[in-house]
Amino acid sequence: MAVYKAAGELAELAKQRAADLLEASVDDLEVADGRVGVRGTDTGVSLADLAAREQLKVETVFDSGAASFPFGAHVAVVEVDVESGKAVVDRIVTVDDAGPVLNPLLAEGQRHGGIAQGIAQALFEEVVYDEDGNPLTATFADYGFPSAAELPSFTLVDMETPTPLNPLGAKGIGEAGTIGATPAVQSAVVDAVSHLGVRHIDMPATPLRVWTAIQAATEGAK
Amino acid sequence: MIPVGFEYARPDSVDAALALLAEHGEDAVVLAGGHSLLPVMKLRLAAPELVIDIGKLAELQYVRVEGEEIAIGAGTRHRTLEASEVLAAECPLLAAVAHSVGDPQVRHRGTLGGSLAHADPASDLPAGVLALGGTVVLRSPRGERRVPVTEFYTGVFSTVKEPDELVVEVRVPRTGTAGWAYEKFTRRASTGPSSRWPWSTAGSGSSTWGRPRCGPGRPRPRSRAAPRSRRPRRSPTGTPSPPRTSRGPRSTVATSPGCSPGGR
Amino acid sequence: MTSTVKVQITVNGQPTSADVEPRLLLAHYVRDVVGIKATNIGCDTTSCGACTVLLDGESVKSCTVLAVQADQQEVTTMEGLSPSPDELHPVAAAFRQEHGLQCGFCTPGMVMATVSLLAENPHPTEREVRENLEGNLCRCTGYHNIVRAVLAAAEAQGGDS
Repeated sequence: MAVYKAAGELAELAKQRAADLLEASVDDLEVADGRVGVRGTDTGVSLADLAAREQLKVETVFDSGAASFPFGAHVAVVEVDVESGKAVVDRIVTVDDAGPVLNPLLAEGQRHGGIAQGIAQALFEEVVYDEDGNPLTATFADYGFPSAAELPSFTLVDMETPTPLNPLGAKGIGEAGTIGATPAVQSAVVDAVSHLGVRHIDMPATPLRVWTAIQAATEGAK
Repeated sequence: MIPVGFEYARPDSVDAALALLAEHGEDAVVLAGGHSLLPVMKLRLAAPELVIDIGKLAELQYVRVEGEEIAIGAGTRHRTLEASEVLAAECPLLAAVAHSVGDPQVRHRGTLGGSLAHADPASDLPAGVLALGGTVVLRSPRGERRVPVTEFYTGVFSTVKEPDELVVEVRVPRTGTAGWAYEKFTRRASTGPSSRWPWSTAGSGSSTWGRPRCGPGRPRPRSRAAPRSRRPRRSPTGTPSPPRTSRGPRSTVATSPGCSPGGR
Repeated sequence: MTSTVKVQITVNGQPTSADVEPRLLLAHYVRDVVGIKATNIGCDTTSCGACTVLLDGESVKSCTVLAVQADQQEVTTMEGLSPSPDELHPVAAAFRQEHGLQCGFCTPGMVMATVSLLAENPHPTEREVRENLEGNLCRCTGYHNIVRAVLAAAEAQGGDS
């Protein structure tokens, strides 16, 4: 946002300098293609030439005054094998509203990566220590890092609600996937076995934890 | 991670390899695909003085029908088993088990003999060969002996193989079109200690060749976090049977046509 | 000090030769002896696949192969795939087209694993792609665009295989 604001101020400064040089009214000037020109004519000067005469420089600070709120919703369809406790994510549909997006390709990539990490936190990833404090998950041979085989493709739904707090209306996207996917998947796992009396499973919902929770719930029911 | 330094020999025949083994005994290790050995050497859990590389010995790489059995060279790679037309027709269970090992890169390197000799209870092929009631052929300068795979394992990571012996062949019965099922609960080792299911199991649909089996060693939790109270289900014969699933994780279940996961 | 062993390995079509310690890993041979650096070393525990190269056309994790094991064989790395930056190998081109990477660390391994997969199975399903990339870990993409890229590469290669 500060870059956007500074760029605007820099364009204004360039127009003022060019107005003096070209003996034109600032209002008749436009900045385009690296030049400041008089609208409707060939008359103009390049930004490089302007900067060569005197450094074109502005300093600015942008303060939104308040925090913007990216928001979204994640829905997960999870299948749980009640006899082994293994949960598999069949489908995940996500809406992440980051406001107007400048580069959809990169924004989608952020969402994909975040969703995968979110699912992984719910189902696989955990740093484990033994009783003496030695890490048991010190390498990828032991740490539960998901591969492509453990994940589905993701369904992304676009929604753009601009924030009034900045001129571009932009919010944020970086962490969106991790925030929504984890509770969606974890809640789906618990929901899938809730008919057996399970109300809670600690994350990550590994086969052992799911199986243990089912055993505890069904033994209690007897 | 770098292994401790060692001497390297690449004999050009099984006999030459056996002579080296006889000479160096427990100071030597045999390297085939290296996907069990090299990781432990890199972690410096093993530091052999001599590594005898049999990975390029063509005489240990074959899959062929011999009478009522299929003879498989110990140096045959998992990928070869997976794609073998002989196995597809004569023993599809073993091809499916080979396909479920690790990932493609591992299957391109790992060998049947290496996997069996390593005796890791979490690995696939020992369970598969156990279920089939196969035979391990061991050779040394003293001669050759055939050990039923049910007598090959003495525990986790341990076998009856003597230091001067080499696994040269694995023999499995021709099961033809008989039903079979193979199921495991973790495809990769890296799903964390607390989520590692203790068994990998395989079963042949007919009792002609064997019963549902677990891998080497007694079936037991592989980590402290595994369930202690869980007891293996017992079949009427008293043999631990695989945990059944209503619907196993799709990618981890392989069955013959008409044979549902868990043998139901 | 252990003795060295002379190896001759063809790397990306070029014959290379060196006296190496037997414990030298193929990944280090490629990076440090030959001096080409596309092949990354990630986990060093045969888990992540960043070091995947082709050995006689098949994908292997070069952190778990000794250079001496590759003696008299052919190694292909990411550098050996594309004739030039303007003329990318179909798999590399598909990864770019589908944005199948973010930080790029896993990419050489992913691409080499894909080349091997498509050589064995020219028309994989999405499920087959996912299962065959099981040995290659990526933290950035969630694999979504990587899977798209592999499917796109398979389509681009058409019936050539």
